[in-house]
Amino acid sequence: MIASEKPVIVQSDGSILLEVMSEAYEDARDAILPFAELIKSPEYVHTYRVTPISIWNAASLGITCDDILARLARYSRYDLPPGVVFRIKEAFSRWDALRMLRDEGDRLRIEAKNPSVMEQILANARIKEYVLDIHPPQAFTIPAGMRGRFKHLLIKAGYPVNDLVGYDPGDPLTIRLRQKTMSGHDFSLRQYQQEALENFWAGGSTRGGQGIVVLPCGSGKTVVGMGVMSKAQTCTLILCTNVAAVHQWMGELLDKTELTPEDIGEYTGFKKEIKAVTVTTYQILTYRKSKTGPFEHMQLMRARNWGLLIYDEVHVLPAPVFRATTEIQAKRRLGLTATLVREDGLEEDTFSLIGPKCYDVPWKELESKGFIAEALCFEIRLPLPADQEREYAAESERAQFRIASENHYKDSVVKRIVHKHADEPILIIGQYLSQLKRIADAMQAPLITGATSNSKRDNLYQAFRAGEVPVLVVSKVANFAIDLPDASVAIQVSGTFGSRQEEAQRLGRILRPKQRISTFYTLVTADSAEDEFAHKRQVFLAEQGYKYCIEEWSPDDF
Amino acid sequence: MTSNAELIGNIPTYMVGIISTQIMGEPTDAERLSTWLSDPVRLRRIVAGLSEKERAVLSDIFELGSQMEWHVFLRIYRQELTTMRSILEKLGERGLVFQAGLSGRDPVILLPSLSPVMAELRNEGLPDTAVAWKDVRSVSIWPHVVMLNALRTVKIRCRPGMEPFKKGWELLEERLGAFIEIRRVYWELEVLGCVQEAKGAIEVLQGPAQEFAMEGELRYRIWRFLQACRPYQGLDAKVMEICGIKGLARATFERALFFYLAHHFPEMDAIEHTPADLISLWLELGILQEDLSEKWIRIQDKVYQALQNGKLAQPITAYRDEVIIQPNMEILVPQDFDPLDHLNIGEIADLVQADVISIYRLSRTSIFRAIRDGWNAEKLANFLDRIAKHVVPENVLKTIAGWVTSLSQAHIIRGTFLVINNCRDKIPHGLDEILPGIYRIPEHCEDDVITFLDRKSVIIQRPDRMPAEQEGEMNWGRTLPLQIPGRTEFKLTLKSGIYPFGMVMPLPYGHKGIEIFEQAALQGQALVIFYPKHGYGETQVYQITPIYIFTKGGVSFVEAVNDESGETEVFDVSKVRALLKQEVGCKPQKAESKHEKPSQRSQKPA
Repeated sequence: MIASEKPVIVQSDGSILLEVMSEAYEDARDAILPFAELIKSPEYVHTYRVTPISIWNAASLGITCDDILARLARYSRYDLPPGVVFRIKEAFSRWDALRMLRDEGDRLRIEAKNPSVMEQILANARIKEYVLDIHPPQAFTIPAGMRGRFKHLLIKAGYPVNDLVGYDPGDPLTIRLRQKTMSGHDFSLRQYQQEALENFWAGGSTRGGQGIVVLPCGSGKTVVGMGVMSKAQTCTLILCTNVAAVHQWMGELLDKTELTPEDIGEYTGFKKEIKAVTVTTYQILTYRKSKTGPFEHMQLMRARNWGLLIYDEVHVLPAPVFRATTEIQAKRRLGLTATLVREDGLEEDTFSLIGPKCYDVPWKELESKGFIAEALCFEIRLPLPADQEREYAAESERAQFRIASENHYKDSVVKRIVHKHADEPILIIGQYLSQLKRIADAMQAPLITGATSNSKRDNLYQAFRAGEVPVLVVSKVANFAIDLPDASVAIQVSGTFGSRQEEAQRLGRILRPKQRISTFYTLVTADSAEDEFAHKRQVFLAEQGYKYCIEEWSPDDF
Repeated sequence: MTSNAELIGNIPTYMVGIISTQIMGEPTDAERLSTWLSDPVRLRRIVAGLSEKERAVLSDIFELGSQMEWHVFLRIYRQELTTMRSILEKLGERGLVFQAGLSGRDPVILLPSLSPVMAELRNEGLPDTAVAWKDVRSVSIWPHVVMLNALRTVKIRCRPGMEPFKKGWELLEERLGAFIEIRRVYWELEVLGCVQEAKGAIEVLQGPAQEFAMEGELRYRIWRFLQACRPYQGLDAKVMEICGIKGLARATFERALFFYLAHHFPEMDAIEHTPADLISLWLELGILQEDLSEKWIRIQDKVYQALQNGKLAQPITAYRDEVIIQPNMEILVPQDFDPLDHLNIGEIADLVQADVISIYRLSRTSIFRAIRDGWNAEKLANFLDRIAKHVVPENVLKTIAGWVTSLSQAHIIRGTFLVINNCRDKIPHGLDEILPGIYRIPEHCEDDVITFLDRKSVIIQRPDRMPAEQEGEMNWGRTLPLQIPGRTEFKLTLKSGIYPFGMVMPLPYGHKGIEIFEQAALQGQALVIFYPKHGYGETQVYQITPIYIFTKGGVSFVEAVNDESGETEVFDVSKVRALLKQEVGCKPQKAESKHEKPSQRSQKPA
């Protein structure tokens, strides 16, 4: 391969640019994926990043430093920046510098590769707090209960510990995947689901058993979760974002595994069942009567000898659950998400407490293979009506954003889009209830908000799936984990301030694979406060690899 | 000294016989001596028979312009002074090296007809063709271009003298990363006149920046070369003269540079390593090119042409034509992209990161800047279309178009009025609206209003704004082509004539000088002395046989027989300027009473 045809460009900050149009793209991608994290995947060039964490992930999978450098050199168009080579070597040297082993009693033994590392670690006052005994020259012990917290501190100090303590297998439970689902369809794991599963499981060794699988909405993250359950053969606690998602999980488990309703419990505000497989919500775990009161349901984490915990939509994991997770490091932990993007920047905590990212794949790639629906994104830019324009000019920035979001012209555009896609199931998603109510009334469509009871929500979702309700208006409650397989059009009339997470989740509602192309409309008031946030969302979707079209509407169009 | 005839013309007439006897083996006249000395076949034969060391000395004198000042001689050969002196004496005996004057500390001169032979020797071993020259190293102006683009993207405040504050340096480091020598590049741009200070902040000057990018890396290389030569006046021309396009041995070149510096800058200490450092720098800059064996060196041909004709050819290395415009508004620019287009990208997009691939991002602010600098939607779209490797994503074009149409404009009419277009919500509070969209600016508040509107991204048109093309001028320093002088000619004081090196020796001071006369008196030996003529103070040559040495009033005298007149005369030893060192084979010809001036002599046929 001549240099100019090589698809990889290694930047001095450790980011890797991968040219998609190159013939060697796929080979190069497979070569770098084990040690680089995908950051963004716009149409022409994808960006990956080599970080200490990604290097440690690779090291934990048995990849050597020379191997990484050779792979980079093979596909790199230019010479590797010396700084990057140095940082890779440096990160590698730190891997396995510390090992965590089981000690006698309720203790864990930390062994350092050499005394200088040990000295450096013990010089950190916060780490030293946890040390029980020092066994010179290269070992010390800590309480077993501090395993998660200690690992977290070591990561912060730049020394990942090679955790060889192993996992508590939990109470055994026979879980088998069906060959044919209850609904009568053939069922098996897709190739990428199998890869994600293998990456997580790592042959059942201590190298695996904890980590995060990143797959786009509609690509079957739940199936990966069930695959892991079938490997682990143990009692499992599944944590979801809301009750509708709990019900979906339960339905999927019954449909695709040989588990019976007696094996599966729902632990929500309505039911408090604790069974071999229990599905719960983050809300119930973090519920407390007062701001300072105890989390009454957090004991669920220890209520059974769970062998596996599955965190659905792990990117929204609330802080108390994070803390509780530090206490259960002996359990296998699987995180599932479509976007490992935390607007609070706590990705590092997710790495240390749940586990490293063990699988990621560009959305566009699954789309091209037909595993998720092909989606077109449209941004429709509208003017403000004259009466609102005056009001807008006089308001504060925050109020301006709301006025722009609730632009009355949007109602008219929604109508036209609904008319255009008359034979397709349509979701109308928004932020402001008054606006949603107005649109729902105008469209004579049902509306789901936070105030809608769970049973009513389930009924409406069911009716939508069945095609009885062609248009459904939803607030942000439907952002997550709602499986509406047939929705092929989503109209976003308003949203929060450019949240990338929200954008991904909303788009995810229409990505379930189907025969027709899905369409995602975003209505934006041009030249307004909404414009800037819409631009951020546009950038995010473009970075996920979606084609983004812009239409300008003028006052004459209304 | 340009010819043998001129050289011989400076030899006192009375010495021609002695010198020709010594060199040719028989006394002859100046004309014949000159012809004989000029024979190239003979000279090549002699040079071929010389030892390495002897040839090296000849080569050294040649590289110094065929003349070596005595202080240079001392500086170069101070470790082996005696050896070198004896080598020069041997060369003098063969008529290859001469010395002006009688003091023994005058310049050493190479026989002029030896120069072509030495020039051939200089390139000995360098084949005419088939030298495998290494590729010229890539010296790009990419760092300068990204620096200019970074300065456009971030506002850097500076002290008087254009030194950015610490925060400014940090900002630049953040954007430009570890790849670039930030301070060097910044100050180069400052010297070149591409940036200026405006209201305490650094501002990129459009015209010079464009010119810089347009003239490209070749001009920049040459500028760096000339800058490196600046402390050593004339060095650039000297490099052109001695190195040239054909090339020469690196060691010879290095030595020639050293001689040049030693000769012209005697006050400079520690110049021993300077030539090697300069050569390394010039190789680094691609001014010089070395062959694969790293033995030979030459001026890169495009550089040579530029220095000689002043015409800048295409860049030495080819540019890539691959800019990728991504749908997320990023523009990815490789380092070896055309500098002018790269600079233009900085006008329309914000530099996010300068690296192996520089990343720019189109934003509302950057488009605002571009529009202010004269771009429009169509021009932007055409430009992006031209530079993009792939199709420009539609959303990018539409977003840009949306930004362009949404930009607000204000027109300030000198004095008091502000006409606002499309930005009713962006005007400062408290202005009187005279007519719809036309506001009065209170006296002395124009700058405040402008600052306010600028913050709100309103394009301001002012009658007093300087057109971009009038701002600043590029400062390349020396213009091209270089004026290369011919070979340096001697400006010697030749009052005392020129003699083959070592033939004439100054009389040693004190007792040693008297001892020579005493010994001659004892042995009855004749001496040829250079002695001032009575009453004139001019030198005359006498062949004497000393008889008696005596001291009177602390002054030593020698009583000797003047061999020419046969009479006994008394000579003041302290006034003897020099004496002929060799055994005299023949008597000096009848000397004229005084030496004619060299200028007069040179006009006469030898």
